[in-house]
Amino acid sequence: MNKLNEYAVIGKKTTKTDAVAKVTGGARFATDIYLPNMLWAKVLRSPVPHARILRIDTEKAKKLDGVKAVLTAADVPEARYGALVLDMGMFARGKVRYIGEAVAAVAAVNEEIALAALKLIEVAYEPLPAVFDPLEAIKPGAPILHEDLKSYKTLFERTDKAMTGNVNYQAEITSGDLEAGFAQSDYIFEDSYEVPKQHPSYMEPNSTVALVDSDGRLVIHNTTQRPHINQAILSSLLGIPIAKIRVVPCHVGGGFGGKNRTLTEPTAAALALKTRQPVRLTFSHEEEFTSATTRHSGVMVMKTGVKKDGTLVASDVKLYYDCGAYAPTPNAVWLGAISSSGAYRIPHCRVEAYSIYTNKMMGGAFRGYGAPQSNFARESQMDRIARELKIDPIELRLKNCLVEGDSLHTGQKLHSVKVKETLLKARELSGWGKGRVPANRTLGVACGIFACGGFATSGIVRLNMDGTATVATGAMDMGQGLRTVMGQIAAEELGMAAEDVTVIIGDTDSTPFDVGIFGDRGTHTAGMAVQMAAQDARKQLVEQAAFAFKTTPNNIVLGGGKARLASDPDKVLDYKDLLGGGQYKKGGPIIGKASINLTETAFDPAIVRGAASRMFSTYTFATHIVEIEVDPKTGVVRVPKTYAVHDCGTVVNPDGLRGQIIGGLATGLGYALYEGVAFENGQVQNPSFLECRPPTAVDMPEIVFDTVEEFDEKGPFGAKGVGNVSVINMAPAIANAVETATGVRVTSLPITPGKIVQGLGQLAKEEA
Amino acid sequence: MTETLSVPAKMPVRLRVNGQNRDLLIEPSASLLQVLREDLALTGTKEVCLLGSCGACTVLIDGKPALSCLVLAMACRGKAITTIEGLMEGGDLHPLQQAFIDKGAVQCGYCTPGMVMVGKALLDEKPNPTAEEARQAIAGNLCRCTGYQQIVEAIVAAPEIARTGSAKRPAGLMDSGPYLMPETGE
Repeated sequence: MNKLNEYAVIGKKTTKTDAVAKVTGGARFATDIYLPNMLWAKVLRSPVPHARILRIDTEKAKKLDGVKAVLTAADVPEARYGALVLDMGMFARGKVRYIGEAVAAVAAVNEEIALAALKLIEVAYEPLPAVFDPLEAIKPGAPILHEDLKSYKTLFERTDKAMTGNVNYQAEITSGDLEAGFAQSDYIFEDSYEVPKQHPSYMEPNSTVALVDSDGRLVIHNTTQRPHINQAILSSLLGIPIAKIRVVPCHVGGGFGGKNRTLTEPTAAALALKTRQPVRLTFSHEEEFTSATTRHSGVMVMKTGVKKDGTLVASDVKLYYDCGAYAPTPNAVWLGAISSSGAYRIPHCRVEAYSIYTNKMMGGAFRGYGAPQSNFARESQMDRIARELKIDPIELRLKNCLVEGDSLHTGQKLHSVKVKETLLKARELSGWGKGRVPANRTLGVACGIFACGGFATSGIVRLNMDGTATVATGAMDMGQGLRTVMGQIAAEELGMAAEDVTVIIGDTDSTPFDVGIFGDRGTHTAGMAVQMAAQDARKQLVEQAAFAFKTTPNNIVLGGGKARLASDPDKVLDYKDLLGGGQYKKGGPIIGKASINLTETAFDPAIVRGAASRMFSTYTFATHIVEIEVDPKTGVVRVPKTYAVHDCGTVVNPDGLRGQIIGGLATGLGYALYEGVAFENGQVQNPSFLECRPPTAVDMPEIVFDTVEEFDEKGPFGAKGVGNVSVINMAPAIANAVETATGVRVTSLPITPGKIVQGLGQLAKEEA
Repeated sequence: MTETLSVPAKMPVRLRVNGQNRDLLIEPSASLLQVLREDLALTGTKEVCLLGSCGACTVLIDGKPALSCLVLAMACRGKAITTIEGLMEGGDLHPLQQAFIDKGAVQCGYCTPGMVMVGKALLDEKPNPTAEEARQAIAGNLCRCTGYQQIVEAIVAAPEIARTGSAKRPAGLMDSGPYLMPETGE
């Protein structure tokens, strides 16, 4: 059902509301705030991966001229936080667990003095045995990172294996009869895949300016995807009521999940409370690579049973995700488990998913959120199955892909499933199997599924006297264009022009609660709350118009900023006239509101144990086909062309959609070929863009982009998200194309020239 | 006993930024980036890596793109410095700024000032660049949001906007625009 032609604003080119500010240098980011009397904060970080802290002496640092405060764990409440596992405090307490962990913080009158003061803090460490590999960390006798793990508070239903040893979060999915499934299979494929940590590489570093205002309230200016959760965490860490804390985020210079965190806020806040001066804490570029959060590294073991004709029958998956020394978001493992069966119907499934502590920097949320790992395994193995069974890779996928009304291995029944259509369209666009590709190029395909939307959010729509509207959402715009899209949704519902709607985001004083923007929930879920709030306002506006026209509400038609009589379309009132006088005559100004949670249904405990969420609102799908060139001498892979077809529901903002998808492909390309945080005994070896480089403009392929539009019943005007699913296919598609081109199957990321040359050497040896 | 950190004395310098002479007292080791942001409050130029690896701090020095994090402010005496704040002419957007808006080339906006500056330098040298030339010009500037495609399209589209004079006077700048009372216009 496509209603696109009926819409006035949805699906139409709409200029990004913050674009002018951003092209003129006027947009203010947290790093752009310089206040009078502002102090600069710096953090002393652990130089060792695992050690007991015997003593911290801050006396010399405190005596340095210009130092206003020095804090350690001894100076702040003993409180911990985390999304599912409350395991991390503001500073290391008693122990350090990774190189880069915060041990102490200084606030001084300038950056140089703050840095000099760090050198004057003396810490005595007693080294402890450390563990860096997740599979080593779950062996008996491995060094234990969190001795009191069982006593930590958790926000999920613990399985037997959760919160024991070095395993924190754990989930299991079982559907069908696995043994019977393998017994029915003609072939069984068992493979292991490995992926490194990938840094989100948002351009703007983590940064907070904290101050105590003249009313004694704590005010936070920061860069975040979740102001309301920041507020709640600050409240619990500092012991201050939520109402005494105001979080006012600035423009966000990229987030991608990496800013769905609370990293700089608590330290800056504690220093501001201590000194009663504004305090700024900005991560250095190196701190970003040692002390922020990355995509989880991990090992995926995948055993799949198949019939001769290619029908998938059984799947046994084990996901071992390395969350580092703390688990701020082990939910990534849960989403990895959901995406691990791919976009396929597999009747007999088991997934065991583990989030495992190691003495490394933290794994967190990053675009794709657990799925790039498991989909790399699933889609690499699908091509291996196709090759062994001599079935065309796209035919194999078409044979097994999910269709409308199918259920996922979690038992969740799916709607708006268009993966088959994305496969067919991508095949057609790329000329797959038609011999159109130049002789030196090879095609590779991958498709994928990602959970979209859910969790709590709310919206408020106020109609103003001049006929304009003000929308407030707690959801954040991290640059993807949420503010513009929320305005489009409200404008469509209210019958106004997009430019007559102003959207307020982020400020916890003026916006209602949202849990944070992640997991394709911006347009879909926050947008739904804004649409419902606009519907509430619209209903009141209709009643007001009926009152003004002395008629019944069903005789009122709204549109183009005017109310009309259905029975006499020449009778017209501008919203301006209706609202300007009307709100005084009949019951005050119009305020529409909605509070919703699109994850309402729990998973069946007979199928899912240790679920980190209730059932997601919907799912998004995409197929990507890459055209690659491999230099057989050097092993260098180039990707000159990529075909991307997305099942995105209704398109709300065409420019924004295209930009977000191409950006996602770029991150997927980096994951496939270039990026990967490298460690040596827990020490990051490549902590900068020079050494761990995201793709540049000349690395990017020409993108042929298309959509399969489908009205999703749960989203506003039928919209779904695209931010995550755009990332998850590039790595397996490129790995698949590399095998077709060279015969080398690379099972670990990134796919470096070295791995290909080594593989070619191995093949030559086997032939000889 | 309080210790004091020893720092070198500040030195006077005259810089010509966006067409205006600015007399400043700065540390001799200060980078141009630091002086632009901290002494002149021109925060449109962004600080990211301080290694010259990302291009976010790009400004024009005598019309050529330069990484302001790697240039000493003292070395810029007598040179014309142009930052993102200096591109608008008579209240109108530069055609390239308009092109970035029209083509959807802006997402988070943190790389945008640097991208616009290298794009402008290219357009000054080659008034009608090809897509390939635009792509090469921005190859030293990182962007994590866009995948670069719409930025390339914006640079290629800018000459047409310049020819037709369709760059607009921005109405209601989101963060920095003046607020006018609807009734009095004040």
